[in-house]
Amino acid sequence: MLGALAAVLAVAILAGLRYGLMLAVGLGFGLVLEGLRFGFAGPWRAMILRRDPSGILAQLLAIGLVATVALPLIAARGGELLGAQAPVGWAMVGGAFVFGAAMQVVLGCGSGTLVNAGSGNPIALAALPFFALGSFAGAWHLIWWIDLGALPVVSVTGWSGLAATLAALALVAVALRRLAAPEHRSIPRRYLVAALAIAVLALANLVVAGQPWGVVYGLGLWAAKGATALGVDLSGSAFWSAPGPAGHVRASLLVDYTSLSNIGIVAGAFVVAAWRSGGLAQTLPAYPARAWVATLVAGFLLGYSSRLAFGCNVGAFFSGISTGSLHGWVWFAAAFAGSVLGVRLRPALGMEPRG
Amino acid sequence: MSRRAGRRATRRLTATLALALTGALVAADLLAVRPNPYRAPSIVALGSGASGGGGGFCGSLPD
Repeated sequence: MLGALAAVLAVAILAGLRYGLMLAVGLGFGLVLEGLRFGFAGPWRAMILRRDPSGILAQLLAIGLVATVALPLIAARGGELLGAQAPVGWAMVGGAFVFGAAMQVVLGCGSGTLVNAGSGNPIALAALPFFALGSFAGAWHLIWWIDLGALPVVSVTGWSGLAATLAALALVAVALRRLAAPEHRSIPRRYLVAALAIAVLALANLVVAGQPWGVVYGLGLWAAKGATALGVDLSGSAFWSAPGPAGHVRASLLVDYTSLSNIGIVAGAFVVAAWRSGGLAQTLPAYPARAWVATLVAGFLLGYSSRLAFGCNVGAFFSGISTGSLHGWVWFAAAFAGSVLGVRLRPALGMEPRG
Repeated sequence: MSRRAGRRATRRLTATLALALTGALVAADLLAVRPNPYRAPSIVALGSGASGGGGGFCGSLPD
C-alpha cells in the first residue's frame, strides 16, 4: 500500500497533481473491485445460470447513483465535463454482442480483466496483451465500421434526462427481480457497499478528468505506443493519425486519464490480493491447450469489439447510461445476449468442466 | 521427485508478473517521453473553466 501511495506521489510530481489524483482514483477502483469481489461478467453469468440478479441490481444502483449527480452536473458545467456519448449503429450492436460473448469466455470484462490480472489470474494475464492489441486494431478500423451505418448520437440531459434514466433503471430492476429465483431477490450488503464506493469513484473520475470512467481506449493506446516503438506507421489509420489520438500516442502515458486509471486498477487489485490471507497462495489451475487458444482469441476480440461498440461494460454500459447516452442501453441489451452465448461456449472451449 | 520440481506455481508469480509488466510499460514510456509538470492542468476539471476531457475516451471519435 505504501508503494501505491508512493506511485501516486511520483506521478503527481512528474506529471502534475491531476494525474496523481487519477492514479489514486484508479487504485480505488482496484481496491474496491477486488476487495469486495464486485464486477460485471460474474453477476451477468449468475443471472444467466442461476437467475441471481443481485450483482446486476447492484450495478444498476451504482449507475443510478452516478447519474443522479453526473447528469445535472454535466448540464450545469457543460464544456468542463463530458459524458460518454456515442452513436448507435450496426457495428456498435455487433461489437457489444461479441464483447458479451468474449467476456464470458475469459470471465472478465474491461475492468475485470485488469483486476483479475492484478490478482494473479493467469487467464486474465494472458488475455490482457491481446485485449490491448485488439483495441488498437479495432480503433484502426473504426471509421470503416461506422460507415456501415450509424444513427446520430442520442442522449438525455439535465433533470428530465435524469428522471428518464432513473425510470428506465427502475423498470429493468423490477423486471430482473421478477425473473429472479425466490432466494436471490435481495442485494447482499457487500454489493451495496461496492455499488456506493464505485459510484463515488466514478464521480471522482468525472470531476477530476472531465470525462467519465473508461478502460479500453487506454489499452489500445498502450498497443499503439508499442507499435510506434517497433516502427509501425500509424498514418494509414484514419483514427490513429487524427490529431487527438496521434497526440496521445506522442504524449506520456502519465498524462492519459484512462491509462492512469487502468494502471491503478491493476495495482489496487494486487495490493488487495497480496494483503488478503492466502490471496496469492493459490496454485495456478491447469487448462487444456484449447483453453489457452480461446483465451488469446477472446482477449483480442474483447479489445476489437469494444472499440466498435464505443466501450466495454465500463465506458459504454456504466458510463454511457449514467451520463444519458442511448448507446449505453443498446450496449446492455446486445452484450447480455452475447453473454448468453459466451456462458455456453465456456465448457466447449475447455474453460470449465462440461456440466 | 525433488521438492522443487514438486512445487506448483501460485498466483504470487502471475500477480507479480502483471505488476512488473505494468511497471515496465510505464518505465519504457518514461524513457521515450517525459511529461512536463509545468504544463499540467488545474487539479480537477470541475471549476477549471477549461474544456473537459482532453484524454481519449472509448466513445470518442477522431476530430
